[in-house]
Amino acid sequence: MGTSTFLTLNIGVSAIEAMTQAESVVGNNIANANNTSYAQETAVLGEGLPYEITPGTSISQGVDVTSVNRDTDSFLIQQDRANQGAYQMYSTHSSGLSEIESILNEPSSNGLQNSLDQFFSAWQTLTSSSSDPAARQTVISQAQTLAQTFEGATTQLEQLQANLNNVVYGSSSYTPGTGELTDVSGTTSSTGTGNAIASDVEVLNSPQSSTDNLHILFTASPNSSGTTSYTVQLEDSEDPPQAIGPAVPVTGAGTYQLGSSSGVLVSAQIADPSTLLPSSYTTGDTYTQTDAVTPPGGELQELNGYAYQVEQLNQQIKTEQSLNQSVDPLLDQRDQILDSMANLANISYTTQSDGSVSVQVGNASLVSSSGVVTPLSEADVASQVTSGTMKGNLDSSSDTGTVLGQLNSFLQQFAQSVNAIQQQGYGTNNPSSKAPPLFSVSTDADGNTVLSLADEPGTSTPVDAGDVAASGEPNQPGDNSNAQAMVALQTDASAYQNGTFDQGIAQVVSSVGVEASAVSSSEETANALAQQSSSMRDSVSGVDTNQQAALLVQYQNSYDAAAKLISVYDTMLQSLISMVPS
Amino acid sequence: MRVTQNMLTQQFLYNLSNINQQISQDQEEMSTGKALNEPSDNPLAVSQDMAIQATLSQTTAYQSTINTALSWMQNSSTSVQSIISSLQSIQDNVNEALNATSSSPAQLQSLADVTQQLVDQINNDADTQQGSQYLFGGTQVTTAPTSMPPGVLVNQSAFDDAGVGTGTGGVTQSSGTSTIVSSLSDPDQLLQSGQSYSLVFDASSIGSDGSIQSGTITLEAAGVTVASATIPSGTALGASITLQAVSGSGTMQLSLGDMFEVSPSAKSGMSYQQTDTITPTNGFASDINFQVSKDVNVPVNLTAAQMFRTVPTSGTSDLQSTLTQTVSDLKTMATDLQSSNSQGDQGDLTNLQSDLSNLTANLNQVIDMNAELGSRIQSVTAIQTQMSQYSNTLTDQQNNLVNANMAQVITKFSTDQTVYEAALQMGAQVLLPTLVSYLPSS
Repeated sequence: MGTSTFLTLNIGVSAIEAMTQAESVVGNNIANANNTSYAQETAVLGEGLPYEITPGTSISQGVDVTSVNRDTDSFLIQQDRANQGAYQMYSTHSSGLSEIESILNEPSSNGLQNSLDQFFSAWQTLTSSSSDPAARQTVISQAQTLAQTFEGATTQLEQLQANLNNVVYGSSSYTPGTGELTDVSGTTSSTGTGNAIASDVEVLNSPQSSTDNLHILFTASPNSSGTTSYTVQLEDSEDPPQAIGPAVPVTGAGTYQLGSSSGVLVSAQIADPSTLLPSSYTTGDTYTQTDAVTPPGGELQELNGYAYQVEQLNQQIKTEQSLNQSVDPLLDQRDQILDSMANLANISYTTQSDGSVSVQVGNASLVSSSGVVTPLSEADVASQVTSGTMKGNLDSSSDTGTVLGQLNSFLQQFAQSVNAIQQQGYGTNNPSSKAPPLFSVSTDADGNTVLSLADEPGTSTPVDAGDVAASGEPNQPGDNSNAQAMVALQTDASAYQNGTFDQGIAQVVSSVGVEASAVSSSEETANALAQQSSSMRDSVSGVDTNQQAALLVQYQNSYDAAAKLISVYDTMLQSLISMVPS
Repeated sequence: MRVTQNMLTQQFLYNLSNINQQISQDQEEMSTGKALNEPSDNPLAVSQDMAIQATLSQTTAYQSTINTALSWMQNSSTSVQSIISSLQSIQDNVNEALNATSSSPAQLQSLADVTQQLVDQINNDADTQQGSQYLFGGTQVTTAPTSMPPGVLVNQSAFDDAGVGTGTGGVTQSSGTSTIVSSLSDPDQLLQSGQSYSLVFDASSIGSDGSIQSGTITLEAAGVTVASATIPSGTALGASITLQAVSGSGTMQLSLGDMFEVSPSAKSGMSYQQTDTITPTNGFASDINFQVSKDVNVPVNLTAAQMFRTVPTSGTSDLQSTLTQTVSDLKTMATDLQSSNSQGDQGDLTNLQSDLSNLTANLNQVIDMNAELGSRIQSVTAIQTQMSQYSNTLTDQQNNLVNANMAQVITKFSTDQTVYEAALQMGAQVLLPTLVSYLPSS
């Protein structure tokens, strides 16, 4: 069997085409060298199909780019994501703790302990001038300073805790809007603020993690069968509002999904529609009401948003793969989302044979293998999240709570001990009967303990200098035994949790310090590990410019050689053709 | 392992960020001079630092208390010295009156006047104030000591103001200032502050040896009996009697004072009654204790009650009575001399003689009190020195804990700086070129 005259030419052409494609891959690698989510691609060259020249002898018909490989190592990626998550957790926790440290403001000369020391110093001064009104006033002022200093710390810690919880869970708001009634004759009137259409509005899917306001439009209108039908419709906050997804018919109270799966999707607990109608409503009228919802934002919503994005990419990858199209850019995109998810929480994931991934947080499934997205609930966050910035923020929040709890029990014991001694003594306002308490203990809106100067019995004016009980005996203004008992409280080694009050405060501060220092060194370790695993990942998936430059030259040389081949073979053909007499 | 440009960059940035953190720590330590800036820098040292801070704050407060205590005691001492010198002048005056029988009545009158002025001076000194507080008023710092209730101080807890005694069958009151009680112990606090009591002594029968055969003693408040006792037969003056409260099980012990005398030519049918006013001291005799160190309380005051209303162990009359008596005796002497009452002269001299011996006993008592105050000043001064050393030690210790070791930090900083510069240099060299730079341009 002979060979085609042009076989060699075709081989040359296949080499030129293959090298051009390979150079494109190199070009794409160089172009994406600094794209962090990009995985380096390698053109895999393969021999063309064999052509039998004589039986048992065949030559290939040139070269092909058989595939373009994405250089990834799923084990390294998984390890790197886990390490990045751990680093994010420690780093977030560490910055939370350093905020607590700066609120406690110790060691310093104007922190909690100082206010405590100044309070006792004022009593000590009082022992040496028990009837001096200035010394008494100092005690009152220092008591006030102490109460305010602790209250300041408590308020700041509460603020910090609220912020941290906000970062994790976000905070949503819901405002019922005014209703409009259009009667049968077409007359429209406002019916004032209506009842809330929905409660428990949860954003299931959002293109971006946006905190833009959403509107829920409720419509009650007469239908053909002479009764009233109800719909709810999700809208954006533009003016005029644009509908998102279809209007959903409502038949009774229950959970409905509003919006579109490719845009914003929310689940809402809709109230019984009949309870939303104004009392003046009669069948045949049309009633509309628009409520405003602010989505919570926060890391939880962000994580759930990513889950929806992963699911969307899963669907696209499945489709593209079934059509034999390249899915590499989609994979890069999905990897980037999974990286972001790993920074938020401890995700684990499994790649299915159809190219989709299922994602879990702890034991909670986020994206199932069958493509169902189950948004993580707040309860899941508390029980399943063990890593990532969410865990870091949750840990900081719980540490803040611990410090608040310690301050609460400290303040309660302190106020009780001080009042017990104060009430044993006698002031100068009413020298013959025992003095009123100095501190009153109350709880603030968040349930934490706040001290303030107590009121004089039966009045609403706070205790003053004359109520300070320096004297331990009735009608003896010069006696200072009670002030001495108060001074002794400072060094009482069983005053608070088997130590003095000063030690109690030092205990709170140093336990925060111990934790901060431990978390900080864990952060360093996690950072080194994350750096290491990220290097490992990069060493597989990263673009090596030198390697690409070398390949560039290598492919260029092949290209040149193939071109030369064509040129030589052209000369050979020319020789052949020239033998034919013209 | 394959090493990519991106890895080099990341590694370089990671190391650079680590060095920057080191330098930031160095900078923090150098610019604050403190190695402890956050509790997490060294949690143990921070809790030690806070403990020292607390102790230091207490020490500062103790030092301020000690200063007040010293100023209180030194002021007291100054006043007491002034009282002592006034008392010595009075002693001189009495001596002069005793040894100058030939002097004119005018001269004696002027001695009496000068003595009266000295007594006024002593009263002024007794009312010395520091700030708005009376130094000698006990815990009644807002009441002038000279206006405290009358009577002799009985064991710190009450004043016993002697009343008029009446006796029959040769029994007479020992003197106008003789009190029923010479000492009193009131553990169950039958005496309430702010209330005045009558103590009624009724010896219905007195034996020829002066011992009481039968009698009662009753404590009354506004006519209502609070406590009472029957005096057992054969009780002598000075014996201890226990009064039983009318309601409850409280008791009160008192020792009988030297109330009455039985004349040598005693007859039968002897009896003696006297009613005294008892006032609780209400703090006039109380110590004011300053805490000058942990668990060390030092009384900083002397009380006028102790000084003027206590009968010295070697004498028979308290200082206030002695002074009143002396002035009145001097005046009587001057009057008697004017009327040439030689009978009076002899008696006056005897009275003055007794005043003089009482004065000497009282003066010694005041001097003793001043000496005791002096020793207290000395011990508080010693504590002051010790406190200031303690405070220095604590400050040193705190500095050791908190302050950055500058030599170490600066050395570390220059090392870190060198590393940082080397890293930058290396980065600039290593990160730039790739093979691309060396590929032929054509």
